[in-house]
Amino acid sequence: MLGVGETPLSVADVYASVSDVPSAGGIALFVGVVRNEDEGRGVTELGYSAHPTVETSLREVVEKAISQYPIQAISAVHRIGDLKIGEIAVIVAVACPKRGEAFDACRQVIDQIKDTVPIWKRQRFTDGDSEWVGAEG
Amino acid sequence: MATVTIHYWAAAKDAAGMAEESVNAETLADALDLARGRRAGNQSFAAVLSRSSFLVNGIQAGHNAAESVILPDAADIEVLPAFAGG
Repeated sequence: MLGVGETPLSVADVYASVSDVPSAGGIALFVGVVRNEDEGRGVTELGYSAHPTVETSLREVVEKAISQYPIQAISAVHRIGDLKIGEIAVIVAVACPKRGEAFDACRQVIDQIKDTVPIWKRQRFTDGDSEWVGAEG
Repeated sequence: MATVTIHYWAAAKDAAGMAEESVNAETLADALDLARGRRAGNQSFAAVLSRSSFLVNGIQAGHNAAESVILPDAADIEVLPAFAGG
């Protein structure tokens, strides 16, 4: 599975998409969830939006990992739209022959999604204020 | 001198106060200077711009060396604020 969309994400669906691979002995799963605070301020909601090239960019991150690790199966999905506390924003699942490479590849993919995939996040605080995360440094 | 359109995304759109505008410029650096000049004193806009990346006609122009990016006429510049996925 690879994609960005407004539909709620399912850990079970993503896990199923990488788990039926006889050559994989380790599956690393990262789940990013909306948290109730940021730097000491209470957060009520996050609004994610993305540039039209987002899926191309996500695919590049995944293909780079495939070229560097013995990946047997991989999924990376990111949600956009308005998400409440506890909702899943992103899931990365990587199946490799062994656990070390599965952890490393999964870590690389989620880190590069944060750094290079054109997704933006606006967070609304409990005091009614809101801001774009990271936009002004 | 090319007439180009600057498109602002996300935080850049909010800070600019608009989704797009037209400027006459030779290079990407000139276009961005003109956009900043139109908003003298708007520190939020300058801060967002300083952390943005840019597309010119859909091609990444990198974070630096905007002086060396020559703009074709009718080019579309896209201002992409710092990414915050995950």
